[in-house]
Amino acid sequence: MRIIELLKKEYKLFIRNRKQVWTVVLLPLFFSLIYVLMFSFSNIDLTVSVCNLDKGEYSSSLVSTLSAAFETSVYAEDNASACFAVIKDDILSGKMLGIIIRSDFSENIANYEQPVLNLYFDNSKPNLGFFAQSYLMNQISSFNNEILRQTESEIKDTTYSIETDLEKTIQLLNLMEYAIPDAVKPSYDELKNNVAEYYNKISGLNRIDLEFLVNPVDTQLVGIFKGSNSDGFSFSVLYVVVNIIVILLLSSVSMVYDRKNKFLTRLKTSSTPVIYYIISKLLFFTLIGFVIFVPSYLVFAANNAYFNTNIITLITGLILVSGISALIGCVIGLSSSNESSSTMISVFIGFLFLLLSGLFYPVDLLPGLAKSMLVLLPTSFEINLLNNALIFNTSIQVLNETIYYLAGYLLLFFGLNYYLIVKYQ
Amino acid sequence: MGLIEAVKSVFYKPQKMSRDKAVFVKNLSNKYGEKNFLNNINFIVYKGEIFSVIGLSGSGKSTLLKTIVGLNRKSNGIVHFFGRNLFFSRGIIGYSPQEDSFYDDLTIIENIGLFSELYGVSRDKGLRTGSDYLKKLKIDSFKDNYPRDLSGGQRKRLNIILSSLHHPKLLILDEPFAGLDYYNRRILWDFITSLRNRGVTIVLTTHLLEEAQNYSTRVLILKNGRKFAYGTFNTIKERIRFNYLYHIKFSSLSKKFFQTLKHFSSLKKVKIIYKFRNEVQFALDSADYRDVVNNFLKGKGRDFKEISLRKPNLDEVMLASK
Repeated sequence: MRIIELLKKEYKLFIRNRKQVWTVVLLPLFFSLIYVLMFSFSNIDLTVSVCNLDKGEYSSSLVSTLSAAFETSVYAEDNASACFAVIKDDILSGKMLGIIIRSDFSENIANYEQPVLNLYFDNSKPNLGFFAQSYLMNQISSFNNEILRQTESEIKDTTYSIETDLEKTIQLLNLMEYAIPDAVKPSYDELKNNVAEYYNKISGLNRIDLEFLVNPVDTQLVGIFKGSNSDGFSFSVLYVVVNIIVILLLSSVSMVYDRKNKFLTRLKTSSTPVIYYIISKLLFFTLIGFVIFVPSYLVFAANNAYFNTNIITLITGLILVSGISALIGCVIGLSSSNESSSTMISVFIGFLFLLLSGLFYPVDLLPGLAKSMLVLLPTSFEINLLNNALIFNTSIQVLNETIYYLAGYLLLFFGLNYYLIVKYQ
Repeated sequence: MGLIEAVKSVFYKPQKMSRDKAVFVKNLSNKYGEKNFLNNINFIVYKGEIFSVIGLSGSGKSTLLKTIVGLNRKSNGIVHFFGRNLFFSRGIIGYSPQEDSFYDDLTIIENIGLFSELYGVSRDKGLRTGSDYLKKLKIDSFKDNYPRDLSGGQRKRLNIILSSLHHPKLLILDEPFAGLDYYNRRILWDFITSLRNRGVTIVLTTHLLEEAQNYSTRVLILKNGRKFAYGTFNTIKERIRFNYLYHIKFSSLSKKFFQTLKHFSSLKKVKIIYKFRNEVQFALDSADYRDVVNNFLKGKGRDFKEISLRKPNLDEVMLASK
């Protein structure tokens, strides 16, 4: 009953603080939506300004391709500096990319020389240039392919003509063989052999695939798990990060609030064991963990993420993930002097976990020492457990090692909370 | 605290009559690093007493209460409640901290429900007791309001109600009267007295000597973390040795004459406790000594004006007993 009364207290204090309620509902929703949108390239509306200094066939074709793919403003200036000025103005007014097509663009392509396309962007915005360039190159691949096909066709036409002429030359040389005087016979034989060799080489060139010249080795990325389910895997990572950030913030602030109201003084001078109090915090924030799960799950499910869930493993996972976050948050609250410092520490730790979660940068590619330090954090074990629960439908018995590790973490922080309350509050 | 002392503290049983001793404190010390906050404090509070711990700010009153209820760690000493160790006495002690200790975001009734369960009383029983106490302390009309709607004095009363919901045999109140006006103090004293009349032992800290004298059975006076005086007021008066403060202002006061005055006060039952410019404050054993001082000054031909003759407050008592 005492634990229920303490839980009721947590609930009432939580529900009467509207900001906290909104945080629990909206933060996971925003995180999930932003994540899903961020990695859906097909939805990017790239805005481009093009200044064409070349009046040739190829530049016109490129401008048409760009205009078809993006919201494009096209300028025809007389010189490069005028082009740069209009492009810069457009970028400062909100255009994402500026392109200057040099005057020798079409001529270079006609001469089989690689033309350079200058892309301009606002380099005060981190990563914009990289992402915009990748997206642009992806979208103008049809233009590149057209040039490739055209070049291939021209090369093949030419080599075919040469091949035909060489074939005729060989036939002619064969007819002339008996009329050749002995004195020039060696030179004749050498010429005949050379022509035959050129013929063979030209025949080979005619069969060559131009893609081979552009990209001699092709790679194909294939996940070892069936189907394409990267969104499902991302969900576990995202949920763990959102869970840590939200629950760390709420539980640490709640602990500071209890301290500020001298509740711990009351608790320690009452007949209620301190353990009951910690259990009530643990239970309440575990419930919050379940609440956070729902909006994120719905966003990912709506984005066609495939889930094959083992309910028991999932519930165990959510309890462990939320419980660990709650107890870490309580430790932060117990060691912070006020709400501001507990919020600051929670945000700092939350972002540390975010960066080390692999959501934006694969942790496997981190340097050796940093990677080995990650083993000390529960995050990778939590992500592994949720992946198994949500995607692989793994039963709980198979995941003993992971569960024992996380349960150990939970007990460690439970003990730390108990120690801090009994000794220092 | 060493292992042997810890074991002794658990198994120690006070001697005969332990059931009459609500609080038994022996050689209690509280030390952090080199600083002694409490130094070998000994005292007994008997069942049914109102026992006041008094002293200047920083004398160790709150530290003493926090140490005996286990909020501060004792570095040495034994504390027993009704013959038992603190661990076995939690359910029979009520402790009210100096600061407000309830939630402003829960209504008064919700706070009462929460703290009832916390102190091991069923919610219904706690609500009945709480409603009764709210009425007695004249804040029952606010029971569905949030504590933030209460005045400072009403919040103090609520703080004490929340510590008493489980009908403790011993109620420990840290500075319950701090910052309260006479009306609020009177309401609280009446409530405390009614609890005492029902057999509850009260231990409280205060700096109001006169009120402590009126309501308490016995007192403990602390000074710099040490026991300065302990017992009934009559016993303590002998230690304090003065009962009145006499404040006068000279038209002029030379250094030479002040030396003469100091010599005079060392011979008589009069003590100079304060001097600022032309003003001097004497501690007198009784009001009759005013004439002794006046006659001395008149005899020396000094021009002066009486400012006040009154009973001292605790600060002045402590100042005089330096």
